[in-house]
Amino acid sequence: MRVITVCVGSACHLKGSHEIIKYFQEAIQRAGLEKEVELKGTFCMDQCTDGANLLVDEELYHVGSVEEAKRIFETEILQKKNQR
Amino acid sequence: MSEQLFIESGGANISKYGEILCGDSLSVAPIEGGKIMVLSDGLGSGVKANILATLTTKIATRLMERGLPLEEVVDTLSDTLPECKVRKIAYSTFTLLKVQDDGRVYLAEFDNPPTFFLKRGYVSELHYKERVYGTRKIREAHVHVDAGDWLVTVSDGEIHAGIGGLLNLGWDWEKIAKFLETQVYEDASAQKVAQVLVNQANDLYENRPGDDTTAGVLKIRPKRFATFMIGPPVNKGEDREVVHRFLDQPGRRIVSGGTTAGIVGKTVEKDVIVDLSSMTDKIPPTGKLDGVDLVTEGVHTVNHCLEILQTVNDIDALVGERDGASRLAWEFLYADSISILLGQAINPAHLNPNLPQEMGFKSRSVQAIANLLKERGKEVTLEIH
Repeated sequence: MRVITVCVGSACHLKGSHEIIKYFQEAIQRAGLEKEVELKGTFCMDQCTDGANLLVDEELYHVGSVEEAKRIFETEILQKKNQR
Repeated sequence: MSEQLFIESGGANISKYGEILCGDSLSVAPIEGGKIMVLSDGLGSGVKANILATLTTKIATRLMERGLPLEEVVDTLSDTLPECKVRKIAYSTFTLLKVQDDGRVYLAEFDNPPTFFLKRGYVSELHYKERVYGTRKIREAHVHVDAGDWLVTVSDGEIHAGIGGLLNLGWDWEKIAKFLETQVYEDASAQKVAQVLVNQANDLYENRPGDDTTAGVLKIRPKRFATFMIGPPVNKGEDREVVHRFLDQPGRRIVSGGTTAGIVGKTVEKDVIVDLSSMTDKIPPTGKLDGVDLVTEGVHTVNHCLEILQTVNDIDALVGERDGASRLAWEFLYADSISILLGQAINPAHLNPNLPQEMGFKSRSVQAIANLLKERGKEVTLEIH
């Protein structure tokens, strides 16, 4: 099971975490990965100045746009899934 | 001391068919350690009755607030009310109810229907004593109330509802008593019961009330406490102490702000679980944490909550809403006594000049909420760390 955790605190919310979560929800569904990728929220990662912040499993990413989230989803989730 | 009582009040009225003004007047006022309710039915109907009734409730309320004995209240009323030209009397009926936080109730009635006293869901008898002041016979009663009891006072428009129409002799006291027993369940608000009584009378009058009709309701229930923690203390060293105090408070506990929730979570050694399904386009999702009733994000949720409170007064309008701001507003409206622990540590991310200005307005919004709740008659304490 892979886990994507998106921060939904005040600063990250302003920097678009809401859209990023929506994107992941759709992307996971489109790829039919509901049973393999879990999407979670968290309130604060103590990195507010660099948000929006998200974790893919244990790895931290600072994401400025939905496009960046898309890239992460493709490389971290879709490609790695194919490799296995 | 056992649990603290709270006296919740509600009132509703309809005017006699064809009249714009109601000739009954209902007034509720907080006094030191309790509440008073005064219901008056002015002579006749329309503007004259309205003036008489309003004067009566206002004078009686003011005097009782100052703790004057009933005798003087009655004297003052008969001395000051203007005389009706047609009937040559200065007249209006009244019911005075004084309920104290320790459960003591003083009741005085003059020419109004007897007050309904409901104990454990059933109408219970009040033991009146009659006293004569001049030409007036006044019924007085002392009674003790507990949580779960109700006091309901109505004008005779309720008692006569449907007279000569749907009901030969009107709704009558005994029937209203039976009806009330089906309405005063624990979750019903005082306002709702008052509204139901008046609506029922209006139905019996077939929407053409033959008299001004008013219901005043007092619901005695345990006082509801809520503690709201938002923002970490400026001094990190105070974190633990503030969190422990927060967790020791009675009643419902609410935390706003990601960092703040994190501090509380760390202290209780539990993780904050975010409930993504509660997210809306504008409001970040809520969270769950053991020992805390509601966890929300900070500044956006609070700003929206303030907007909601500015327009919504009826708590029922918020039932079923799942977003953080509506739930926070619900908590504030539900509680009688709210203590706010406002931490003013600054999140460096919020100082970013590219962010909207309102990010810095968290303290201001919290204070605006506190003031709004005070205006609505709630006890509010605000503590800044």
